[in-house]
Amino acid sequence: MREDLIFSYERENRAVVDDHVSGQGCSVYMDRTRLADAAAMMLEAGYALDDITLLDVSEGIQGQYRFTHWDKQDRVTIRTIAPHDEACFPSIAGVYPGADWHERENMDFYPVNYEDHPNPTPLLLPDDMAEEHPLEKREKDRVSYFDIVPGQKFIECDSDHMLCSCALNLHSAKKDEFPLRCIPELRFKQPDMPANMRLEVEDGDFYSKHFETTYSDDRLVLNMGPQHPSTHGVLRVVLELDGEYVIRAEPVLGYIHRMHEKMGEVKTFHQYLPNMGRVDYLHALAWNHAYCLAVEKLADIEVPRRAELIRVITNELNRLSSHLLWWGAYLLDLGAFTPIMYAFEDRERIMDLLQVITGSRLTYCYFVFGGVTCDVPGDFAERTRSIVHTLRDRLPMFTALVTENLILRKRVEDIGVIDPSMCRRYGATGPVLRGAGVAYDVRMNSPYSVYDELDFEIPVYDGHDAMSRYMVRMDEMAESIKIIEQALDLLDGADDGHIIKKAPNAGFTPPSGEAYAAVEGARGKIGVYVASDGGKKPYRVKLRAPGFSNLSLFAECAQGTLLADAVSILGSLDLVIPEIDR
Amino acid sequence: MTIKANIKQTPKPEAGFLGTLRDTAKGLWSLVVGLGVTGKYFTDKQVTVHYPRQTVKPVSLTGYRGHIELVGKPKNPGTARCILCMKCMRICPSGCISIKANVEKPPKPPQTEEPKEGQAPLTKRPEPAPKKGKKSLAKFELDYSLCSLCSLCVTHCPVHSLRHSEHVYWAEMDKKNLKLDLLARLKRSVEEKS
Amino acid sequence: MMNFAAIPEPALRLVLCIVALAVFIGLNGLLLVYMERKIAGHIQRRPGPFEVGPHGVLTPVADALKLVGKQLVAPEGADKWLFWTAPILSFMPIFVLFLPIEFGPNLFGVETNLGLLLILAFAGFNVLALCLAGWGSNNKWGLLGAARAVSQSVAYEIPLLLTVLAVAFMTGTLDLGEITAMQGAWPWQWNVVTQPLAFVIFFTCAVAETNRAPFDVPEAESELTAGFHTEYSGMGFGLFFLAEYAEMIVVCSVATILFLGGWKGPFISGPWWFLVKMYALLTIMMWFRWTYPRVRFDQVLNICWKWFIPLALANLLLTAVLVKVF
Repeated sequence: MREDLIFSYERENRAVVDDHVSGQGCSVYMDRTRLADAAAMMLEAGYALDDITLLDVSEGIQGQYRFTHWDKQDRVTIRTIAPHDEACFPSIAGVYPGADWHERENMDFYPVNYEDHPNPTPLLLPDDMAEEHPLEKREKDRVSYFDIVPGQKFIECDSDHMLCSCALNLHSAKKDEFPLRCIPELRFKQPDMPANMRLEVEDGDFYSKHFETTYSDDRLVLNMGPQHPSTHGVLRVVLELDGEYVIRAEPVLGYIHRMHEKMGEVKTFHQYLPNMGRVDYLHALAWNHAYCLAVEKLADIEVPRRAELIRVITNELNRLSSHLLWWGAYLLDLGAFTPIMYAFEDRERIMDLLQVITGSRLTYCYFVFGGVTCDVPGDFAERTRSIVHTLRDRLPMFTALVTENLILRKRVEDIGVIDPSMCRRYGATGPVLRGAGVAYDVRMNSPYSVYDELDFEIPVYDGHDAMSRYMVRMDEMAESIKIIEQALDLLDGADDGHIIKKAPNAGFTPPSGEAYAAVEGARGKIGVYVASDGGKKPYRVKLRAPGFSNLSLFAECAQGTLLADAVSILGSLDLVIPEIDR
Repeated sequence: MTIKANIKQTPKPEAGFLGTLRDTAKGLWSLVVGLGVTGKYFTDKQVTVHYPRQTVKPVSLTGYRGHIELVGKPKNPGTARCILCMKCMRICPSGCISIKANVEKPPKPPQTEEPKEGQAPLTKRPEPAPKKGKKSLAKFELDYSLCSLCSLCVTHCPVHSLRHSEHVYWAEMDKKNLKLDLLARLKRSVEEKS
Repeated sequence: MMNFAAIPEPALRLVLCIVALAVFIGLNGLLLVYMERKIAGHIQRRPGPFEVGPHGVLTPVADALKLVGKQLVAPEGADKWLFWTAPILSFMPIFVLFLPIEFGPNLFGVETNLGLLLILAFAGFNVLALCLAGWGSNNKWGLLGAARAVSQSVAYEIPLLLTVLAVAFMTGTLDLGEITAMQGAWPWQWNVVTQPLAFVIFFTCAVAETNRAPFDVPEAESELTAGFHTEYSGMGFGLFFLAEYAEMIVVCSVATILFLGGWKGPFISGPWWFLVKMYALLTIMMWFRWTYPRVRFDQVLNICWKWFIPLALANLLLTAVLVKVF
């Protein structure tokens, strides 16, 4: 029986290495009762949590916990399945606090529960949608897990992988010590939860559910957002203040939630492309890239070298424009009005340039499976060179006006200390992680496209504070210019102008399988997981937004700071709310 | 691999009494430098375009994706190149294209097919090809209020019958006016040219 | 030039003065709004207001009309009395502040030998107004803004006073007319030469006292949305706005009289020199605003208590010693 097969995988703690096939690294199947221990082990071994994906298949709901190691080129996916009538996983939020939000998001989208979850309230969906689970599949739509992942594609490894052996040890030693306490009848109700928890609260908003219990007379509860100048969109942060000191800060998400993951399941592979420009509108091409990479991996499509180079160039141009906007907006948060106008001057030139090839100025939809939609015009290289030269000449002005400014330095130095351990627990990536002194960049650690042919540096600062994150982004702009110039040099002779080898047609159906692709966006690691059952539409699309993980550490980071510093920290995380809410 | 990390130290305030003094002096000087930068730009010329009086140069509009428009046949610019394959309609993620076809009834067997809305897929038709009625484009409508300008229809058109217009300054007060009859637009543009 | 001192009756003189001042404040408010927006625009490499009138000169008038025409809304739960008293309380004392200022030879409202004291005393009213506005509007942002405004204004009044005192020690008077009279026409005859530190501290404190960037923490837009005037609409906001600009004029006028020789200037002394100097200082204030980030609230207070007050005290001590010795 196939249905037993997956549970037998779990019983045997089987590990499967399929890096080339799906990009997920090593998959370890284990029983869900041992999940919390496995997570603790992963944390001890130095793995950071990327995301928690659920996959609704006929055998049950599979949880995929993706972990990354910063030093080793190593990805581990822990897979565990819960049957539909007993859809409950142990929560790992106690080990990885970053899992808190991922689990809450999953509880919104699927009829699952996480046992011992510290705060099982809806995250992205409104409170009155707690009974509806948009990503739950109908019985007839479900396919077997082995329709998605055909067994023969795996290269099975022995149990000498670190986690696999650990899991085996656990299995033999503590087999009966961790019975799962989940009772099927109580699927939607947590037995031990206080009265103000999920589904039992008839009325009251976020504040009454969370803050009333700790409320006292000398505290001021303040709603920062959803309309507030420094939350960059519709983020709401509930602050509990003592004077101007932040006692607690709790971000409330979901104001611009658009359910992109569901849209992925109801649109064809091609039709989902324009969505990618709208997840993170500031670095839209990175999302384009991640999705295209995932589908290309799935369908084994080859991309011509010229297209790869164009992808790199446009991506870096887009990163420049994103960082420039961040720079201006951050300074606006800190009260300086002029820098954003100077940043827009440069950003405008870059957008003009990107418009020539992509046709749009903000929500790009330029990459297609197997290449890009159109080639660059003849004078493109020349124009790009002159524009990035201008930008490079202007960077010292940025430094003189802002970076060295006494007032700014006092606002960012030693503010918002985020150390590597915190990044690991919350899964922070991108400049936030590199500002914590960790040299992790997807472009360096698992190079994609043609990045490994180019010569550039990954700027890392060891200060852990907002200044470090600021400096990382400023240096990244200079590095992006370097990348663009090198790629332009390579572009001249590449592939005789072929930008796409064999374009998949409109009714394109990739073979069944799953693929995960990660790229380095302006805000961190962008991950797209695509599972296909061989149909016209993806079976499941999971978007791993870097801002989501980066923001989840804000609550811990902002504790005990001043209100003005909380604003400074929020800005230094470089948030794009549509990306966080997806 | 040529990508390498470069771990640098975050600039920190200098330690010690002299360091603090130096830092303070540098900080105060940085305030003057900042004034210098803004002062310089104050006297510099402006970079914005005063929109109603000035517009961006046409060269900055190359590649701009306006709403889609039909491309006429080279010899007969008033008729679209469209071969009614319906690919654009099917691939459109937002369903903003609607196409209607005129089917000329073939002269001899009168009941080959009923002139339905839309088009039955070609493969399902059992009749041999010559009996098929000759199709022509009756209506090509675009609901611009839904369009996300993703260019999927343009890239997937097999005969390059679609392209993006350079209609930049288009704005409407009413959502209804955003429905465009592209066929009429094509004919109008030909008439205007001639 | 009309000789104001020749008008005998004090009451008539006062009424005339207040009418003249109302016109002066109103016109200058409009001019400053225009100037600020133009300076901001040009620093940011854009034209600024451009549409109403040639080069947008009538934009402030349109703005004022818009503000006057807007509905006055008080939030529910606000203390209506305090809420509406606050903007009036913020604006009314401004007239008193202008009275002792000598704009030109014999061009002043009230001749008093304690003019400086009068200005400093009535400037304190503004704190009360901001406090009432923040408290009365039943808004948490407003409350935080009011708390910030009070602690900032109270703190910065001290170094302001100390620097003024240094000048008063030197001149031996608190009469603004006499202070002007004791300075010469040429820049090296001004008090700024003998009291440079006092001038720098005075001017910085003046920026802080008027809640201008980089010390605009009571209304810090990105932190407190709009601080104490979050809930004000129409002319409620308009009065705060006008009061802020009027106060800027006052502090710059005082700085002009104390340190830059008042209406005296090279070649032909007169009120024009006063206006030139005052507007130069105002321009610098605007230049600050469009260049610097905002100082954090606790740093604002730290700068005051740990730097300005000790420095001002040392300066005062030095001045006292030197005045005694020479």
